[in-house]
Amino acid sequence: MPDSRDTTTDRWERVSRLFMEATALAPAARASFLDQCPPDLREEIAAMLAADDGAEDFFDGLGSALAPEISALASDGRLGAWQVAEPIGRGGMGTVYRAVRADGAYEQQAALKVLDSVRPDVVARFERERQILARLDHPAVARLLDGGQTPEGRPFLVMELVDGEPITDYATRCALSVDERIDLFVQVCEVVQAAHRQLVVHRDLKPSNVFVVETSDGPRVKLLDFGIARILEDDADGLLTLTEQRVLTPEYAAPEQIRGEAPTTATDVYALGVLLYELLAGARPFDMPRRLAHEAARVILEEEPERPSTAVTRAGVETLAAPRDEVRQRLEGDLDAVCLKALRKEPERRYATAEAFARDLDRHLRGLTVEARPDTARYRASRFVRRHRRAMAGATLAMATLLAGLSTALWQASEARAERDRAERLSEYTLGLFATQDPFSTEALPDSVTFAEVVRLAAGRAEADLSGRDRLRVLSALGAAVSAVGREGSLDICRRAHEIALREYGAESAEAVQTAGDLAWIIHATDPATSDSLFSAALATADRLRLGPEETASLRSDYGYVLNGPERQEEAEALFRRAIADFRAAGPDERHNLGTTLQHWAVALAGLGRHDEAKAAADESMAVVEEVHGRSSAAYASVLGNMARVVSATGDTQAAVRYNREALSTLDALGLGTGDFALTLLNNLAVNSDDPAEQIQLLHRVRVVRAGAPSTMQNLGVAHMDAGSLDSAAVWLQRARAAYLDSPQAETFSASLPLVTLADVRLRQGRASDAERHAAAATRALAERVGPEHWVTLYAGGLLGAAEAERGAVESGQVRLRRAIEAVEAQGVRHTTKVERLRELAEQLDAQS
Amino acid sequence: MSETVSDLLEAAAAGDPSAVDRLYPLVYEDLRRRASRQRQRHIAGATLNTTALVHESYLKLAKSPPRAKDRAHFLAIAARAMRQVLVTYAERQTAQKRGGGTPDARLDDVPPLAALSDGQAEDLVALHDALDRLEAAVGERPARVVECRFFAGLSIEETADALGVSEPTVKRDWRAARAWLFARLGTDVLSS
Repeated sequence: MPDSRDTTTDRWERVSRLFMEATALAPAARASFLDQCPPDLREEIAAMLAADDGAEDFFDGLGSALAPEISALASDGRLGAWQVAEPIGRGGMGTVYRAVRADGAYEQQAALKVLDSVRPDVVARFERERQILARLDHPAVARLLDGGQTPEGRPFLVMELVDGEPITDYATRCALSVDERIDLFVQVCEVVQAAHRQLVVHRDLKPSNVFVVETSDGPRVKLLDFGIARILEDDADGLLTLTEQRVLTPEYAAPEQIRGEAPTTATDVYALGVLLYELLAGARPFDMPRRLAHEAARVILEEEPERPSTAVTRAGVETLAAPRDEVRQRLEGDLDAVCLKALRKEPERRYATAEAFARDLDRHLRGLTVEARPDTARYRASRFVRRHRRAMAGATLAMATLLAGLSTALWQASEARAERDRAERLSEYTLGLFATQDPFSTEALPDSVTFAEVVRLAAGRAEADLSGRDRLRVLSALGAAVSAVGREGSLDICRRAHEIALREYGAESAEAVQTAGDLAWIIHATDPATSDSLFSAALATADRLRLGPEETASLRSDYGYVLNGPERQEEAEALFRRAIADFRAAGPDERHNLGTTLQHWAVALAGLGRHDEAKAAADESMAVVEEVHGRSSAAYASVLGNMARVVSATGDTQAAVRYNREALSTLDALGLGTGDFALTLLNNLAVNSDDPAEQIQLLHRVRVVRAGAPSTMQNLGVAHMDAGSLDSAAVWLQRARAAYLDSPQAETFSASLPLVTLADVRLRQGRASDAERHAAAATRALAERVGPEHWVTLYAGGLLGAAEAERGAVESGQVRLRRAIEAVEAQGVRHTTKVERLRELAEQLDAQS
Repeated sequence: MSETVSDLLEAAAAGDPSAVDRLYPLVYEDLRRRASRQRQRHIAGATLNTTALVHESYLKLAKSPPRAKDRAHFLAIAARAMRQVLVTYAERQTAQKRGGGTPDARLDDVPPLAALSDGQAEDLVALHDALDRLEAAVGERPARVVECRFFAGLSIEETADALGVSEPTVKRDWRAARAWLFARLGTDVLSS
């Protein structure tokens, strides 16, 4: 026997080695290889070679089918803290088991759902989602208790175990009457509404997620799987998931889900409509047993559901509340209308909220007429769509801005992942606000509805629907959205948000600080005094509260921008510096804010005469903005424009012209060549031009749009003076002065500039006493606003000296003029044209004397 | 007093060769017990490597961490036990399908392998028989390799450790044995 064993073993060694050698050969070479094999082994090796490919497939296939069994046997039935017991259900996403706490921490039974998916992103998303769902603490919502990953990488969720049955089964088993069914359904609406207030959309409402539990207080509904569908959604490949969902439960999918759009509260209203339909009619709106996915999609997108009163003919009689004819009569009219309203293809034509849905049913139960059934519903609906088509399209376009603003606002507020997620959710909610503008609502939109008005209505809704911080955030975001298209309206919303913050959180709160900052920003151009006190009070509060950089960096940056003029340049510089340090510390998420703040810091540094630092900051901002936004962007145009200001302050007007031109062509390429920002650039380009004729031409282009802008008139005055047309110059400067005095900038540095230039014009005209009067007034005002050492104050003083000397007080005038020249020169090279002008005047005086 | 897994592992470590053999029924019983407790606790679809599970499970069983050499032996035993349990279930599944009786009364409380189709259950039984034939025809080692790789999901390296052979040998045995087995499973499998 040992011999025979050795022989068989030896034979296997030879067969297996030759077999391996043959597999390494190209198939064509195997035949001749086999010819050379020992004849007693040849047939066996040939058979193995023929089986080789099939063997791999066979073992792989059977192996992967067996693997779960092997896992199950080897894993002892424990998942995390849970001992898994028998399966209690199987859904589209995975299998549900009964489970108990295995660590003995406390006695708790739960439903444990093991998902089929092995995607790691699902697990990550689950972790984020869980934090949000944890807040959804409602007695009628099955709580999400725990979750994790099975050893082989499948996500599992542990949910409160609900000892009940699907609402449709319950209604059938207990043969509930129509009224009892509606009562139960109204409970469902209330729970859904409560969740919507918490910004959680269910996304997958259907009978198997809507349970009824019998309690001592009678039947109570309990909703399962709230927000779970979201966990399973694949952001990167949403269509795939959608296709799966379509195959799984097309009966409850809303048209927008079929289209792959983000589900909103209106999506849940649709699913609620299907649920009510099924409860009342005993059948679903669309009869699609085993229809193909694309066919189901077409039905949902295009076909009108038949009336529930008609659908009762399809119902199994045991599912109905009463004999078929009786049910049909009961459903005809109101209940038909209510169901169909919830099932409208267009989200905005459904009930605006789950609450409104419930309210209408309540009206029906109380014998009142239902909202859903106006006599000419179709006519009114078509009228609404016609009237608002343009506005709604506008709203959709502007939505991009809105959502971007919203996300940005919240990203700035915190870099925590949960916060970002919250931002997404708020975005969804906000979309819902627009999607559900109700055509039959009493607050009907006016004919000339604008985007701003839609936003205002949405803000009203948000204020009524939401509470706490969510309300503030949505209001702030809406405020920001309107400010992107015009300041009107945004002011109201921001003011309202601030009032709410003060009332609900008090003045000493992060919420008050945030909303004050938003409001201060909106009003900074129109009401600089209030803006300033709001900003400084908000920062003081933030310091007392020790708010972190994520809450204060943007506030500082905004405040710095507002202060960034010659009057308070040092404060602005300090604010920017601090904000920049915070943005740097915050890392990649704040790169865009870093880029923006750096360029304004550069301008501030240039204004303070710190040219090297200014240039370095401007260079860095350029690099950051290019990295974040690319060169073809308004942001890059902005950084070019500010770079122009920085180099212009150093006296390099040629470089300034180059940067300005590049900025303008960037904007032109983006189709923004006629916008407000382009006008500012044109204005700056003109100021840096050394050709007065070109200056005048450019400035007139600006003036066509910015008719009453005092700065444009001031610049036109300077240009005309440089061009030698002194009378025109004087006219523009006087208009500029009047315009400044009539504007919120009356008390600013800029308001004195027309006087300074006018003094020069009068000198050139030989009207010395007029020149002296203007120069004296300008010098006084400037000394007060930017200090006696500011170069513009000194320059005005020099003009005053020249005027004095011209008028006759030669000696004192010349002294004043020389002192001014020395002081301006001492500050560096940046104001050469002005220094030259003063020297010219001094030379003229010397020549005269 | 019955022997525990830990006792037997210690005995094996102390040089008692029969201790390893006496481990087998214990492991088998343990697997069967788990299976009946976990009725149908299966998860459909493709799965990843299960080695970690086998390790973890048997380390737990042993209570104290066995030395590397013992653990390797143990994995080989686990693989054999796993094969036995799975095939028993598969036989039961195919027997039920044919309306036959239960081959093992102890398995009354054990449901069929719900993750496997009836065709796959038949394949598994056929594979089990073919594996016995392979062992009879060419010796024990290739069959043990298939058990470790296929029934316990061990890697090439772990299989080499468990059986005390080189990795190239495991690779060669695995591929050649697979081809040998598949060639003999013949038309039954190919037509299913």
